[in-house]
Parts: sequence; C-alpha cells; structure tokens
Amino acid sequence: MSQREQGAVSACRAVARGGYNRGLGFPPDWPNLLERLMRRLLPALAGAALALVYTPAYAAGNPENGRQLAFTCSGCHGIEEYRNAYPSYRVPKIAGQNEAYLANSLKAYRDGSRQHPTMVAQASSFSDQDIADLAAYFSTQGRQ
Amino acid sequence: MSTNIRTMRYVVLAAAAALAWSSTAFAVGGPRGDIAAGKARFEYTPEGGQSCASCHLESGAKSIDGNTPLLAGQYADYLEKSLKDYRSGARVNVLMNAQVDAEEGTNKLTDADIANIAAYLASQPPVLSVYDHSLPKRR
Repeated sequence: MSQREQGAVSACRAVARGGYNRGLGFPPDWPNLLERLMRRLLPALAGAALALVYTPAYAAGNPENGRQLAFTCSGCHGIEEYRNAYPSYRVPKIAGQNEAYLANSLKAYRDGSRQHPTMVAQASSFSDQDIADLAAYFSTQGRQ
Repeated sequence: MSTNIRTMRYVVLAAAAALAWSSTAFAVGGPRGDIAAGKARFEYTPEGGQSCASCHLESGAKSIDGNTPLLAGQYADYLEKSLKDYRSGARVNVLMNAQVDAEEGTNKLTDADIANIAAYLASQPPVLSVYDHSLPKRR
C-alpha cells in the first residue's frame, strides 16, 4: 500500500471514528463486531433456516388437541370391524395413516368434494387447526 | 291352527335371520378376491405406465409421499369401495381417477381386478390399526 493510500485509509478511519463518536455510522471496528455477533447468532440462524426448510406446507398439528377432538371418532373408527351401513363396508383403519393424507381427507369431506354423510357432518365443524391436530394425532397412533 | 301360525312365525323369523346373515357375509368379503392375481395387478400395469406399486410402496406398507395413503392391512371392502368410487368419479383425485379408469379405458380396473387388489392389500401385515382412544400418544 502506498503512502498516499495509507493516508486515505487513515483519513477515512478518522472520519468514521469521528462520526461514530457523534452517534453516526458504524463503529470503526464493525468487521470484528459483526463477526462476534454472527458467532453468537449463527446457531439460531441455522436453526431458523432448517425449521423453514422442514416446515410442512400445512399448519403444524398438535396431537394433544387432536386427542381431545378424536373422542367422537372412536365411535366408528375405534371399533374392530365396525360397519358402515348403505352401502355396507367396514369403516377404514386410520391409526398410523399418513398425516397429510388424513388432513387432505378431512378437508375434502369438509368442502364436500369427498362424500360421506357422517364424515361430511363431522368435518363441517372443524377448523384448519382442528384438522391439523387430528391428523397429527391419528398419524402417531398405533404405529408399529 | 294357532300352532300352525306360531310355527310359521318361527319359520319366517329363521328365514329372515338367515337372509340377514348371508347378506352380511356377502358384504363382508364381497366376492372373494384372488390374492396372487391382486399382487400381480398391483405391481404390473398391462398397458404400461405407473403401477399401483409405483406410489404405494412395499405392498402398501410405505408410500411415495405423505399425501399417498398407506394401504397394507386395510379392510378389503373399504379398499374396494374406494377404488370403485375413484373409477366412477364419485371420489375425486386426479391421479387415482386416471389410474383406475383412464379416459381411453386402457388401464381400467375390472370388478375382478378391484376385488383381487383389495384382497391382496388386506392380506399384508397391517401398518394401520383400529383407533384406540384409551392408548396414550406414541412417539
């Protein structure tokens, strides 16, 4: 670095320091401060980034709330070989089913695109959060 | 005369019971599916393209993504109903509607195909179970 350049740099530093002392601009040793800040924040930032990547597209369900809502479901889905009437077939096993599939099914019943009188009636009262909670709960149930 | 009527009543009752029993029995299994034929049809699509097994992996014990249901050990009659609803369009899922009843009719599942596939999946070691509200949460 030539003498002239060094002069320019120290002049800039002096200006920066002066500005900083008057409450303006970055602190003169901002690269060091930034590095220390990043070291502190990096784990948190990395965690946040990971969480963003792995967050499913739908709202995260709370299995505990799901369990509260699921009591009614056990009236049919909780009985071995329980039969649906007209037409007659067994009510599906849902414990351990995939979470997203369960949520999609409930939403389809709610908006009427999937038809089943009892299920449409049940799902019509569910909020998005209720559905997410139920799906989270049933998907964790009884999995081997 | 009155004894005759009484006997007739029993006969009618017995007949009704037998009818109810037989219709239930029929509805439970439907026409029995052929497990081996179901496995073949599940894994192989005669006209090419994706088979059931392309998405419902490991005999339905796993699936390609969370939107695709697990099927191993599910009740056969429920599976039959689902497949027939997909075929008729009563149940809408673009992929499944096309899969069981392509517009050109190439991969259309017959009633026998559906019964066979349902029997095959129902015969697999179950990954699904009947819900038990008394069980604490797993995981």
